[in-house]
Amino acid sequence: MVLVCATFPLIWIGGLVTTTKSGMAVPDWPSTYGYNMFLYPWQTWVFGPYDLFLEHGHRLLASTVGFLCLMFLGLALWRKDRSLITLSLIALGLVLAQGVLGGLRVVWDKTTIARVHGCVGPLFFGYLVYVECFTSRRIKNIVPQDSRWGGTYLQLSIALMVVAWLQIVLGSLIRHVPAAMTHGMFRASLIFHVITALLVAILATALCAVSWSDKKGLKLVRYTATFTVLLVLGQIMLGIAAYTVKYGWPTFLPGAANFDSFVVQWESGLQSIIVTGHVAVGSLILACGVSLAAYCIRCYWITSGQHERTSSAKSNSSSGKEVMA
Amino acid sequence: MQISQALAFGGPYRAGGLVLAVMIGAILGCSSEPAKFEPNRIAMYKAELSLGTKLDPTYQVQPIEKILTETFGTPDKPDLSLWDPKKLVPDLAEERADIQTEYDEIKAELDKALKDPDLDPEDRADIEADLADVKKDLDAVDKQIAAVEGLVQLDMLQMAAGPYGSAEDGTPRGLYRQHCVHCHGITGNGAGPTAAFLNPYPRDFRLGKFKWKSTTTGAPPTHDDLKRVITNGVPGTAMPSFKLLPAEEIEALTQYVTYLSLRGELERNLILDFSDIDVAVLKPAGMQSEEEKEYVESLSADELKEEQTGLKEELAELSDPEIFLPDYLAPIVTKWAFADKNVTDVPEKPEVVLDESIVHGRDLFFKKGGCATCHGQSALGDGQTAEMFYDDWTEEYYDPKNPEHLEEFLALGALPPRKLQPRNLRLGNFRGGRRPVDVYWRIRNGIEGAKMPAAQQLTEEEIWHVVDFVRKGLPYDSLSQPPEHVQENVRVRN
Repeated sequence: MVLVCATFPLIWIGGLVTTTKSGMAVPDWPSTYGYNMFLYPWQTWVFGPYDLFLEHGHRLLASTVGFLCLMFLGLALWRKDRSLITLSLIALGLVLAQGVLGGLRVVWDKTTIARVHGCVGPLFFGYLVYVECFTSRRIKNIVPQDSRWGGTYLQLSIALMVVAWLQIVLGSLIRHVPAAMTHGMFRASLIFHVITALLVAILATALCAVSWSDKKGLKLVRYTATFTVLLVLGQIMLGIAAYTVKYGWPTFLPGAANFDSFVVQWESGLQSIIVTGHVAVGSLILACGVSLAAYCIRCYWITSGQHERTSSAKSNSSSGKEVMA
Repeated sequence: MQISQALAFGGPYRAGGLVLAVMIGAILGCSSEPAKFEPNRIAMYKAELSLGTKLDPTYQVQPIEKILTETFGTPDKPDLSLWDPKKLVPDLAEERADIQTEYDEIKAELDKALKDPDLDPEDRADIEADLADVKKDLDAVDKQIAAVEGLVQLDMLQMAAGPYGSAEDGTPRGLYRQHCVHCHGITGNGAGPTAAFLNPYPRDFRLGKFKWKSTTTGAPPTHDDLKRVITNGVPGTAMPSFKLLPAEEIEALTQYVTYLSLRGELERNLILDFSDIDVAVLKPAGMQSEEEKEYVESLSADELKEEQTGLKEELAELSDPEIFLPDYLAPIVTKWAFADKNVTDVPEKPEVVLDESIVHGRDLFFKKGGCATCHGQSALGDGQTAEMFYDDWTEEYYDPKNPEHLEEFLALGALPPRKLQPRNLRLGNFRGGRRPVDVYWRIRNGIEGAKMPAAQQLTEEEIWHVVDFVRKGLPYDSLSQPPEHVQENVRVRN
């Protein structure tokens, strides 16, 4: 009975996350310039009147997510699990806030709100990933251990999570360029975005290196960290590509002459794929950072006692499920 | 223990967060007010430098802004209510009225004659021919007036202006802010947020100068020229191709670019003329320069009063639409509306064997044409250019021989100057288009605002030879695949 109750939310939240990934994380950046309207109808949402179907679709998806959050709350209430209730309440609050922000963004038509909405989207997504990790079997299977790498793991994973989100915020500044922004300001955010990208790359690589060199380390962390490094590398290339398809080959990089006959095609399919891809992978990196942090906190935060309660019930599962991620 | 470590780790991010918070705060502060056309501070400062004194906000800066708002409206709400052809092109309007009277007279004569049963068919034919002639004149004038009226149309501007979205009936709104503003800026000053990283910098429309056009040096581009650039983009730069937009939206954007250029030109002319007026006697004491102070002190109270009233009258006159429309706006508008008259005719390309033409073109390239001076012996754009080549948009605020005020201009939002680079012709690509006619225009008329001169010393036929040489006669070096060095066969050599 307990097992069924434990698995059910797992599958269910997995579904929620999947929904969220397609419904929130990918198009979480309102398409200020209005591209990818036709090629990726399920991906973009703002610009309602431009394409009602998209806007409507996005709203439907968002409401589904909200409804799922309500169901989650109901389930948590039914299971009388206090920590789950708290988690679901926060999730509900976030999704409501996000919905209101989205509405305001459309009503007031302000890029600032679009930006905030775009930043809260991944935040909500990251939070859901955390909830999913928190309630999942694999995290319950993790046996807290005392490792000399423990502190490093914690620092690196939490830092990765924070920086990944910071990076999304910076990215939103570049994506939603306010008309009144000065060119110095844009330059600053772009430089910061690049610096933070390097920071994310360094953190992810360090975490990956630590997890591989630590023989007793969690496989889960090891694989997720490796995946994150690959994602980050891909993301950096996507970022350069995204800049290129919007503004031409970055002048601060060498090799500009190769792009001499390159004509930027505004609102082209390529532009929308690459730019949306860059945004989506950004959220994915954040998700990886969150799950890494969740695993590391669970595994290495032995000093805090509040997790004992949830861990006591399931310490009997096999380690094979660890690789489920 | 771990917590304290985590905190230590948090240091750099907090700094980052702080910067971010400041940035977001600044942007929140900026974007909460409605969009505004920025005054051309650079032109104003330039005027101040040459005058040696500050412009007076009340009597010089504000009137200019007032005139501009009256004639053009705001970025959210373009307003062309003053654009009356009778005031803008009074000569044409008068001419039209005269021809109309003449037409009516002949028409009346014809009607009268037709009622006459004994009408000679020859007379009738004569009158009808006269009528047709006058009608032709009338149509010609109407066409010219239509060109003035059609230069910028309110419904098109409304599509491009304002925040992006769409009107109740579904027509798009705010196209300029959707597609252009992040590079070209609200005012069209070419200093939008992304500008600093782009090379070349986005075009500053306010000078009314455009590079890729078919008209002679000094003339504004035609409507089709602007449209061509918007549609095709500029290869190798950040200027995208808007081919995928509906034709109507491209038309709206073209007109909006024209609108911003007209506005910018009018503003510059007004700044020049308003700064010419010596308002020393009206300035508050703190604003006056030493010289002005001395002058004002030298006047008696009556003289001062007299000068002040006279000056105020003069300024009020300048701010009167009856004056500034015909004197300031009209010349700019007619220049743009009749840009077609300045299009350089492209003669038929002479029929010569391509190879011969190329040989001829090469000769011209190195000798008579003088192209190699800048474009280099190998046409790589590595010739001996003068060290101080900057484009006109940069020279607005940067004098390479006298760069002392650069910092002040940069503080006013000017972009750091970049030296002009002669084109590497061996890339097989031209920013203004690669059709033969594009290259012909570039050589014939030069490139407006850049240092590429018009090749006046070449005949039409010679230009075609150079076009052939530049397009077909140069070895094409793809930089990604440089020509391989042919290996010498060692065995054969030995």
